[in-house]
Amino acid sequence: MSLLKANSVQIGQSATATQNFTLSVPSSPDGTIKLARGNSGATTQDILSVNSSGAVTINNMSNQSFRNRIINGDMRIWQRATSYNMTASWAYGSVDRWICTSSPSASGFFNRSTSVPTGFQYSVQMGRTAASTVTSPIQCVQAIESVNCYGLQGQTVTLSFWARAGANFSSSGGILYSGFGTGTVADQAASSFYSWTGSTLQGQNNTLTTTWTRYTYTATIASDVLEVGIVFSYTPTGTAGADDSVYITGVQLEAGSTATEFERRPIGVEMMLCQRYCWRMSSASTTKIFFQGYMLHLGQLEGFVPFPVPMRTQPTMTSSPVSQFSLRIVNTVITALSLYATGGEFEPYTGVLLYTANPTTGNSVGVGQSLVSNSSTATFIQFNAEL
Amino acid sequence: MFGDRVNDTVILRIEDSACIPFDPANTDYQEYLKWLAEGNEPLPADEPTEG
Repeated sequence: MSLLKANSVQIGQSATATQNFTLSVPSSPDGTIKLARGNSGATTQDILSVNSSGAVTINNMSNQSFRNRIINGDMRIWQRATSYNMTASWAYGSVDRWICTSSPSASGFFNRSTSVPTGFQYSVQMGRTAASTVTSPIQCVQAIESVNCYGLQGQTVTLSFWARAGANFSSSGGILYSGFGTGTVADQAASSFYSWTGSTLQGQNNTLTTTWTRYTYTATIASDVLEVGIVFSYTPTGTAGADDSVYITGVQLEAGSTATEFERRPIGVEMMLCQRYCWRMSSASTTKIFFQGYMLHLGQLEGFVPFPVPMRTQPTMTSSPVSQFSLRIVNTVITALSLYATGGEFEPYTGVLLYTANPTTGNSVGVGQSLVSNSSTATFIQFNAEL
Repeated sequence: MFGDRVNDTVILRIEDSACIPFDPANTDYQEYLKWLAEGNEPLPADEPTEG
């Protein structure tokens, strides 16, 4: 080992290209190797350590993959719609994984926006309809599935996000509240966020401007927590101007006391993460095939629909009006589309049987058939397994 | 508002024709159970029976 210059140490000989170097410590009494900060031999902050069993601990892992517990925090996935008018009840209407409401009286919207800070594609614009005098709180929540919360128990965690105010943001003092709520029972519905069993709420008021700014909040999560949710809310005042809204993106919740750079996951990965909770088949063409099956009866097509990823639970199925679907070969519009669900046959929820009610004319029992869009690009089938 | 079963494992939600499976982890099914506990009864559903 040689000292090259102040604060720079070289181990071994640079001229020996293939030489292996070993940094070792005695196995007794400790055996831990540490990289740490400190002065004159006194350690003030551990950076990296390897214990006697070989386990590696890295503090403040700013490059650790999947450190962000928020799914779709950068608002890239909009399977349901790119705009949504809030109702007085909590509902998922547009951007994936985010539930929203304007309650007790609905006057809000939850839309996709291309107003973003550098490095992002979309934000969500959460606001009040222009000229509205309704002053119900406008808010959104993302609930994290309990199996993804265990690692946060007893931890210091940091919430970070980018936000800006619309030109006519009416919240008193320009305040957007951000925080996280916790519960002590697993997988409680996001729609009951404020009344979760064992509910606690921690957060802060952020004073927004019309300039994109990153805000952070750090707190500790109790060791008995089984569910965590993120909330943003503001209460409008007076009569809404043309842009009484907030824009939010780059939402991240991570272990540790520092807000690291927003974690950017590949779009395919983020889509799969979202599809555990919602999957929507939409017709980009007027003849999209939704599924293929066989005529179980003359008046009933049955088909298996495999999911792109296993869903969180057996999903609820919704669809566009049945008049938008037809049987391909006989070209007859169906009269009903239904779900056949059994936990046992499809666990861990990898697919489902669907069946129709349809005219018997032209059909033959046992033959193959397809369910297609009936000349509409608005046709969809959606599966929802959200919290 | 909910309609009657569309088969042995699915209930119909009237307002959006959602088919809700009988799964305790499904939040729509949890809402249905809560609605039942409040003394409500499903309406007859005009849906096909499975197979």
